[in-house]
Amino acid sequence: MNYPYSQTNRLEEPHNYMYTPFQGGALLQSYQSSRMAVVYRRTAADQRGVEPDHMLLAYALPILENIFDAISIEAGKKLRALLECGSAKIVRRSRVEGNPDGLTKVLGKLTVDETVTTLDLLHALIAVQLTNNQNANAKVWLDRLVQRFEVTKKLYESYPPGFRKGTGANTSARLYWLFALALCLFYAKKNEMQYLSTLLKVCDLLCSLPENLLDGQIPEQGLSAILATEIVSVQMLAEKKGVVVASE
Amino acid sequence: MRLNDICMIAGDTSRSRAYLQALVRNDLLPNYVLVLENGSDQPLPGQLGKATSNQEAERTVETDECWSDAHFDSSQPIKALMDEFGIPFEVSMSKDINDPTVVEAIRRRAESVFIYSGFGGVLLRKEVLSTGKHFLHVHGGYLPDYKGSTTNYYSLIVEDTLGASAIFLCEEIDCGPVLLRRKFPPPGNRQAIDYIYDSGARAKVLIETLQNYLKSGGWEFELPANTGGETYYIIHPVLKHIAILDKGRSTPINPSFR
Repeated sequence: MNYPYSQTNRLEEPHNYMYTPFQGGALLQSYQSSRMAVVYRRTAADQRGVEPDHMLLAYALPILENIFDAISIEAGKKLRALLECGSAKIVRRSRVEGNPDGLTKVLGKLTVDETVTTLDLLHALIAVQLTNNQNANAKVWLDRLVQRFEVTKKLYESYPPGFRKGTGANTSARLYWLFALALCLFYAKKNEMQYLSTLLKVCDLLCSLPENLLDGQIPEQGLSAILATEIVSVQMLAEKKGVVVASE
Repeated sequence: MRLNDICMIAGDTSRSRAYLQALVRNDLLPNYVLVLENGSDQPLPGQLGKATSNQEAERTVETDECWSDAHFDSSQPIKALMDEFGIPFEVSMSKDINDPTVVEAIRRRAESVFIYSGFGGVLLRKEVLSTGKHFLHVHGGYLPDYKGSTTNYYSLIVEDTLGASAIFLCEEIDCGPVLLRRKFPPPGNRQAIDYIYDSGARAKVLIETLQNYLKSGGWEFELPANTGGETYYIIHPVLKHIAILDKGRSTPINPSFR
């Protein structure tokens, strides 16, 4: 069977996920095959991305690897194997300039009484999870973005005071990818199921987009990093529950 | 027995069918029912398609007391049951509880409490909530831990239980005071959760809530301040499938299900 949730462009035709039918183990198999096809397809594509996204990814990868290694040797191995499918080399932070520290400060300055620029918020949400600067606001702001995405299935360029209806463009693959990376880090650390659920929906959307909307928007290995985190998280959960997820 | 101060607002969903059959079985007849009509041929959220209704019902496998209200006939329309048992009802041509004509019909009633069982995915707006009525809703999840949508799939994954909580609705989602809440063991046939077991669990809690009301002569709250907890959004189908295919415990381990 074809995995139905990323078959059509989900920016144009959002899925509300209500009362989705039970399709047996085949659904899980088609999910994994569909995601793997995207990982392989993107290796040949334009994966430049822009800064500071590349730097954030370089800092995020070892943290994700460490978390998965700590869960089990097998989980860490699976993550690395998937990362290496998407690229010949894993991005290392020693090869990038800058660090996430400066971006974390933004989070303390944001307030719902003023317009919030989504890109700044996402950079701060990722940065704060990559440093030792624990910030209780991170969950509050991530939950606000999750709520906006779950209700509208979109992320807008900015959110005016009140943080309800977004304004500006809502088609930036870059924003959806950064959101997915923020969710990957949060789920990997906290293991709270609602964030994995939202991550799966954001990845459905990213995997449904035509190539021209992805090109130049996501850094090298960026898509494989979030898909690897998502796939291995699903595999580990399934294993724990005695459910088989094998690709078709 | 007629509940003079309690009526019901219902779409013809599997949940409403479970509720009304449980109310009849327990001799707790609502004084009146306002039926929200789905004029379309397409099922609305919470309604079983004609092709699937019997198949789903046949799959209820438990004999345990805690799932007694999951053994309802999901193919029996509510109007047929209300005719059979002489429950007065009116039909609204709107499927939307927030429609001004529905709001007015609610306001006109003398009863102070409405059992709420409308179509899925609809939130009650301020106009409805300011009619001066209480809306008794049974949320499919254990409050305050599990607020929002499809929380029973989340709780199955996290702690291998389902939940149901009776609340009076307020403006914030699933935040009204909790009258009664119960946890249930995972059902034997997890494929029938959406239409059968979720409805059965809620019906069970509804009946116990009404029995408590009759016993004490008023509404008593198990958790007056329903604060905290997490808000969940509709579960992704991959996780829903894992919750359904879970090879874990599927038979009740604690018949008291509390």
